[in-house]
Amino acid sequence: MKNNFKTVNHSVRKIDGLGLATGEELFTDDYDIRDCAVIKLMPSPYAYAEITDIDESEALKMEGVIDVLSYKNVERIMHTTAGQSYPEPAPYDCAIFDNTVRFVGDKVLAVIAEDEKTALKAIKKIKVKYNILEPALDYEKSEDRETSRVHTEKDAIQIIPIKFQPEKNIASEVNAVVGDVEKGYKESDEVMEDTFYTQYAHHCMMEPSSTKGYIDGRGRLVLITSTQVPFHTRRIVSHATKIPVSKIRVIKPRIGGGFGNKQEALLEPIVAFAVWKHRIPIKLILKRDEVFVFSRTRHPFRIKYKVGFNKNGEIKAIHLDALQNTGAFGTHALTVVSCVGSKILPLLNKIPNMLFTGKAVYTNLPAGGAYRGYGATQGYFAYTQMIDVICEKCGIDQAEYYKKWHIKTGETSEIFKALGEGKPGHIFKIDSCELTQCIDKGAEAIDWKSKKAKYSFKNKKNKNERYIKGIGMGCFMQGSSVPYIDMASVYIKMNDDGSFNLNLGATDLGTGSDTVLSQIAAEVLETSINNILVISSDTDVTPFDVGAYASSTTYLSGLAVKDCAEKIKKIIKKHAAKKLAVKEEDIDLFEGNAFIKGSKDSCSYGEICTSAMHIDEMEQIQATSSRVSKSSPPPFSAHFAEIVIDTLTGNIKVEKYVTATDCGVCINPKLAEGQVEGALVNGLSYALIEDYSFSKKGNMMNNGFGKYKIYTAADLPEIITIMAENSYENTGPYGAKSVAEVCINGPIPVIANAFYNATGKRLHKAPFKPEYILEILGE
Amino acid sequence: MIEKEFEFYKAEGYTDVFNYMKKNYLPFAGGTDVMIKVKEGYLRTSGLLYIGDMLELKGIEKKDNSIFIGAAEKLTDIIKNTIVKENFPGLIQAIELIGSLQIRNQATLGGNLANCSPVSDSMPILMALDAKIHIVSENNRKIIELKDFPKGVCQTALETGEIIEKLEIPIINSKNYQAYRKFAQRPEVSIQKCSTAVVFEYENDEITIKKAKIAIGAVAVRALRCEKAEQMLKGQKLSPELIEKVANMVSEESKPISDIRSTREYRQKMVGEGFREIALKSV
Ligand SMILES: Cc1cc2nc3c(=O)[nH]c(=O)nc-3n(C[C@H](O)[C@H](O)[C@H](O)COP(=O)(O)OP(=O)(O)OC[C@H]3O[C@@H](n4cnc5c(N)ncnc54)[C@H](O)[C@@H]3O)c2cc1C
Repeated sequence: MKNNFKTVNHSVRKIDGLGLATGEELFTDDYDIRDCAVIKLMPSPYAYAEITDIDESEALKMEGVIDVLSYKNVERIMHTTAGQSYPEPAPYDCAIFDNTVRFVGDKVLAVIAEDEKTALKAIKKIKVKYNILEPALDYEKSEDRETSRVHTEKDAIQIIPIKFQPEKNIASEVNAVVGDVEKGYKESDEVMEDTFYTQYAHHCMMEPSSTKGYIDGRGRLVLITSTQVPFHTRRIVSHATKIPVSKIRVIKPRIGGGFGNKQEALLEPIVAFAVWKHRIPIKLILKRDEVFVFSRTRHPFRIKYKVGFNKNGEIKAIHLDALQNTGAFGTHALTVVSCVGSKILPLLNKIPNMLFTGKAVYTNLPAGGAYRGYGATQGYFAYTQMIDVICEKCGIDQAEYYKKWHIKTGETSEIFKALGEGKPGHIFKIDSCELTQCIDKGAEAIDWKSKKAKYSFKNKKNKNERYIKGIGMGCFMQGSSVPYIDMASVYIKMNDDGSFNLNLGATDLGTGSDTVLSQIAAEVLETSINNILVISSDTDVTPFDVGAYASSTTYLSGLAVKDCAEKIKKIIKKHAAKKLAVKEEDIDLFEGNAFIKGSKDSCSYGEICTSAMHIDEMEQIQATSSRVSKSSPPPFSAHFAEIVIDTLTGNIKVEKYVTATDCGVCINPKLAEGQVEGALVNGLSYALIEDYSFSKKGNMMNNGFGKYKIYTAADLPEIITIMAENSYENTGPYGAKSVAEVCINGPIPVIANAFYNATGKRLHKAPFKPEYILEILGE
Repeated sequence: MIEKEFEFYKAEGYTDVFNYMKKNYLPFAGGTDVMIKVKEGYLRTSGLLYIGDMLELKGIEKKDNSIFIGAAEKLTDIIKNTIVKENFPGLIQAIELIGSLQIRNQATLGGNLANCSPVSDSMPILMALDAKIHIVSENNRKIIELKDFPKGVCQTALETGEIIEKLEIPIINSKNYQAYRKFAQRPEVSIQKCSTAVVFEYENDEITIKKAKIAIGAVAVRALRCEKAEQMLKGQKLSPELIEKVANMVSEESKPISDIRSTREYRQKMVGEGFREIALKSV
């Protein structure tokens, strides 16, 4: 397949790149609003307590203190902060302020003051009395009778059936069945089981959660906020505060990273309530220590598999069981659990019997939320090692195994239908899959076969060597949007000089979607990207889009852009035909001009628009488009890692990491590679060093970058990034599917497989810190 | 936390220092420890006194078989200094592991010692090098052994009104080997889990150990010298068995705790491993 793209598939510069580098682009906190008051939240010192009394009288007497908000004076309206489409598949288990605090760092109340210092002083003057309750801190024991129930309030509800059972500490439950696993186990030569644990982690986006609000000249509330979901935020704020949607405008400025953390209406309801009540500008910006505990996290999981397979490696039955610690609130609880099944089980789609059981349980610990990988990352730890075990037992090369069994173009998986988001999913066929190509290229780049044999613990001659090498691999998929749930829309109008305004609901978090979507528009409209003027994510100005999540923006918002631009193109042709006195079919568009086919007679876009607006038809050339996704084409990726284990210190050093990724056509190859490598760094750091450590009372002890370390550029191995060739996703815009998440799934299991190759031992608990590795090596 | 406002004064000489310290001003040089405390709001002093440009606290020189390093010398300048490089490669190795390049451009050795954190990276190697600290106050000057300087977590032998003027490190005239091993979550900008510093001084045969000095970090409230282990090495040649025995002794002499950075068991094991690694490299 040879493409002749002019803008698409080219690494054009990010349209906001220079402005970000020079500091001229604005983030939430950069918006200068005169006399902006601040909110400071009082954090709960207890993991679980009922607030019996708040005495704020001393604080209110202080100069500069405007108000103290708490359950006493803020109407209790149950909602979820999860930024998902309505009806959200998450329990309505929180109020803006509650009389119960459910984790250390939960909000007790908010002080509004003229400046931060005053607010902090005021917090110290407020006396709060608590009735301390026994917290639920071990999620494997959450359902036990003796464990406290985290949500005993009567008004917590589910709005769609998600098996919300607070009386059992269950936020949500999901099951999916294909065939009959018991029958499958009986037909198998061997059945085995194992259990794995993944840990808490934070997105560590550079910009902390930030929201500013003010009342505009017409009495409406304007929120400038660091969000991935401006439209969901508007809806949730309206619900939680009773401010009508018509009175709320949400503007997303530049964002310093989200990775899922900002798929949440967390600060906005608080700021909205405060601004609406006091009619003054107010901001709430979390400090890093607050960001770690109060904003959302990656859900820890326990994943079990039970698999039946034959001597030839054929899997007859698999049961994947996922137990999720959702923390104090059930935000994204169900959907993250679902993804453990839905983003993993279709990969080897020929398994006849599959059972997926997933459950999200409450604890009195920080709440989980959306985080790149979204459950798949946790689940692959178990699944990819399981494949490795089967291959080792059956004497099959892992790369060959994946090539034989992975889902292929034209095929489908029963799981697509069996697992949706709070409702059944939708069946669709795989339109593009270059995983075999990825496996071959990755294997070649790292010299898989010979290194695997060379490093294998079975062949190690000198057992006393201090440094031992290992190599591992695995294959991964994700999705691109949620079918029949995600929707994106776009508006384009043409200007006198032939430029176009592209108004997008879609949300650029630093990901580059404003650039990528402009490229798609420029490609259709036969113009330069400089003539595409983007405005995105302003609920007053741009049409609806679900926002940036589920790896949906390039795919789905891209489809809407393409569709809308094609409508404009038609209109331009119509006008051009009239102007040049030929039929529409005889018009060709090229570099901002309309030509009569096979001739040099032409008119420019500027002339076309000027006469359309001012002289002839007297109309605005404009169009809108709105698209719902009908499938969720998975991107695929094959990963290979070579590691060195220091058997004396337990340190694992990744020496080389190869990814080969099929994301369809890369609309912007450089940005696509950036997503691959970014996800990889993110995943390596999660695999090796990131973790939350809690005190016995549930207090996070390492909530700052001094103690919570993440990988930096200096810590990276040699990375080889391969993008598959000739992949074209027909359901996507110009052959594209998603790329943002899939690669974070690799490092944990691939390093674990390499560890097995080197030592013959399996890792069951992430992260792979030296302390844990020494323990395993000592066994 | 509340950011308090501080009076600020830049000291031009000792007179300023002693006057302002009487007014409860806290001296600081690079500020890489102090400024964090300012930001986090737990400094109790009335003002801040900048001493980082005082000539009295500057300079690196060789005199009477010792090298003197001014307390306000920046870590980067110490790393670049040729006489330090020639004589104390172990010290350079340790200092290069402190923070990041940006931190090292700003931080001073005096600050690292005076801050006296159990996780200081300069303390163990300087202890193993038998460094001494020159202390001045309004009416007095004194010299104390570095190993007697730390008194506890962030507590030193400095008394009210005293500051560190410089550091004295005796030059080792015989052939010697110095090394520092830091265990941390990641190589750069990471506080140690624990560390081992070793200095071997050899006899004329250049393999028999005349004197061994071993110091370990982050395994007690302060860095420690491992005197029992040092004794075992005196007059010996390194052999695999001896290394093994001494490594175990180093572990035994440590008294670590478990905290967010690591576990007691791991630290105890690693200080011994640190010794083993250095000893093996030395031969
Ligand atoms: C990001 C970061 C990473 C770091 N990483 C490391 C690391 O890896 N290893 C490590 O050991 N440290 C590390 N540190 C700590 C710090 O950089 C060192 O302790 C530094 O050497 C302190 O020097 P300073 O000049 O900045 O001290 P300052 O902050 O100026 O002072 C520190 C203390 O010493 C006192 N003081 C300073 N000079 C004198 C003097 N002449 N006489 C008496 N008292 C004095 C001050 O009153 C204060 O109490 C790190 C710090 C940061 C911010």
